[in-house]
Amino acid sequence: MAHRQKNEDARVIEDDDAIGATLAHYAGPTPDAQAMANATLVVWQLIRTHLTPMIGERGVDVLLSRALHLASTTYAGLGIDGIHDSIELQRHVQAALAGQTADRAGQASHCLLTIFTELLADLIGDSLTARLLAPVWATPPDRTEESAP
Amino acid sequence: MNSHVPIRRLATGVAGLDAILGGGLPEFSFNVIVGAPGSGKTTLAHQIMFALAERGRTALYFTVLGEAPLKMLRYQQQFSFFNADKINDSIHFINLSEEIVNGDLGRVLTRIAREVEALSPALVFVDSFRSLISESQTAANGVIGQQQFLQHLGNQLSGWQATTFLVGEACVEENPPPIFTVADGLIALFQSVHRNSMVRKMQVLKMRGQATRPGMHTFRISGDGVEVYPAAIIHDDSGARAAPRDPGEGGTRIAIGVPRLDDMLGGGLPAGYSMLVAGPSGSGKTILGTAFLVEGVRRGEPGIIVAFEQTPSQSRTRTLDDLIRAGKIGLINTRSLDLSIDEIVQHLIELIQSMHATRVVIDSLSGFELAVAPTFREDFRESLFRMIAALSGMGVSVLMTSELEDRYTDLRFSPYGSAFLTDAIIVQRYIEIDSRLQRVMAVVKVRGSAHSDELRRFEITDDGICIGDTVLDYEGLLGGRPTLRHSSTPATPDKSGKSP
Repeated sequence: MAHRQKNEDARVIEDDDAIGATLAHYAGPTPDAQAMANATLVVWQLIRTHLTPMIGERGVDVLLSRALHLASTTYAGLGIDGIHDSIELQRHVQAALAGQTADRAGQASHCLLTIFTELLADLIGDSLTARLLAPVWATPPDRTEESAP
Repeated sequence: MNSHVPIRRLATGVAGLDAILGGGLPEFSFNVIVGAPGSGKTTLAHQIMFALAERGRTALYFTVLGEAPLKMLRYQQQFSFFNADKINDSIHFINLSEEIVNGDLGRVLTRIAREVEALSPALVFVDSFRSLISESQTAANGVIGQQQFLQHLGNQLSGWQATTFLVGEACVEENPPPIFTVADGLIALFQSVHRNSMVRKMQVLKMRGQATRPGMHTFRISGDGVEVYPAAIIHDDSGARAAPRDPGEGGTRIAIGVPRLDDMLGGGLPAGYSMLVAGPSGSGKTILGTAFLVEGVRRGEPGIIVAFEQTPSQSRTRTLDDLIRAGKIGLINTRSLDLSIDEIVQHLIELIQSMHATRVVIDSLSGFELAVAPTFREDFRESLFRMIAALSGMGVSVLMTSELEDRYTDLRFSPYGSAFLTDAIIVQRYIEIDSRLQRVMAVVKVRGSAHSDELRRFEITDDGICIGDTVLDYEGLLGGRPTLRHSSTPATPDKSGKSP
């Protein structure tokens, strides 16, 4: 799949680096590969929490599987090799990211979440995607406190 | 103390639907929307939801397996009523696929009840109950039966202080499910394909507490969603200006715009009358209709022409085109082949009201019948009657043209048997005299009024229709073979339209 241009992504997630900022937040002060893998799962759970009521668990899993498949063209480790179970998929993602270098794990995670967002936007449009995922990218309260003087 | 419970009626936001529901949707009613796949159930439900949901009046839309939620959101966005800003604000979608996956209908009921209690919505939609049932059939361990489930769901939906909708597939005629009994409102959607036309129809089978408009009503689905065309009804007292039905009691008459024709009609056409102009091709029916509208404009009476011709600009005169462009005459022109008469009437009434029109020309009934979807053609005469009655009830004078096959073995005024529907009839014929085709015209009928019984020759000139004198010297004209009664010179009108 041809990735969208950055200015198109901005419409979907409003803040160009919202994905990166959110991952960085949940990865904590030492963002090694394991921390980045854990952060990815946290974000993934947030996405699931906000989308499942509307499109069902199966709907979310189908989108994740497709996103993993597309991301695997760049990050081969993300290939799912016939995994369909929701829990197995999450374990697979965590293991695949944790086995990378810190930088590459961050890039792969960012790539995966970007593709997922694009897929959703292709199906239901930019504005509705932005609306549904806005709570995922919202800055957590403790982060605001951290940045306060 | 007033012992009656006032029922608020909600405007559905679907054009024409409130009219056939009997004034809107009763608040807190439990409604069932049924129809075959593709009949527009989900679109109708969404349109109502987006119209009604707002801050303080939230809507819950439960989706099951019938239509993938992602696809549903994708396609419903194509309609102009879809407003993404309302999602997760006043509109919440809940997917029930996890509850139904094991066929445990009890879990579905519990989840629905839990979500409703949590959000206290004013509107609840469950789409669709056929999916709920078919999915549960695949599981052997269903805790409650399907009918029991529907009954419980219906009771739950009725019990909440919410206006609720159950959307699904069910056969209305054969073996209707018990849920239909519990429901306060039952709206059935149909679609039929006949040759290469597709027609959608809607019927309100039930709406407790109010008088619905009976029968089938056609509807279309466009980019704006569903638009219903309520079957025209005849008002005894619409509040509109009533047409004087008896010109003998001082009713006003309107000028036709053709010299001498008003005299033949007994002083013009009584206002609010419908008149049929029947004649063979090229006899001058459209020109007569045009004169009728142009005369109206001259007198400050706006008019409307409903045309069904393939090349309307060629069949219209320049004068008429100019008046249409100037906005003094309204035009409804369609070449669609899947219309219902009610759809045309709906557009016509809207235009009459916006233009304050008092004259309408329908040119022609032959074209009208072709434009109507085949499935409506068998009811054409009945629909025509409703249309004329509706227009007459508004005080509008109607001139309709009708193609008449030139037969000389019988005297016919209309191929539709519609002559008796109209208040006045003018017939045009060709006759052959001295190896020349000549036109004659006669007033056959003006209800409740004296009128000419003469057969007059007429010509079509650059100035329009010029009516001459009666054909005195011949007889047997309508048989197509006139014979000279006397040995005098044949009566031939001169170019001014006057007989020698």
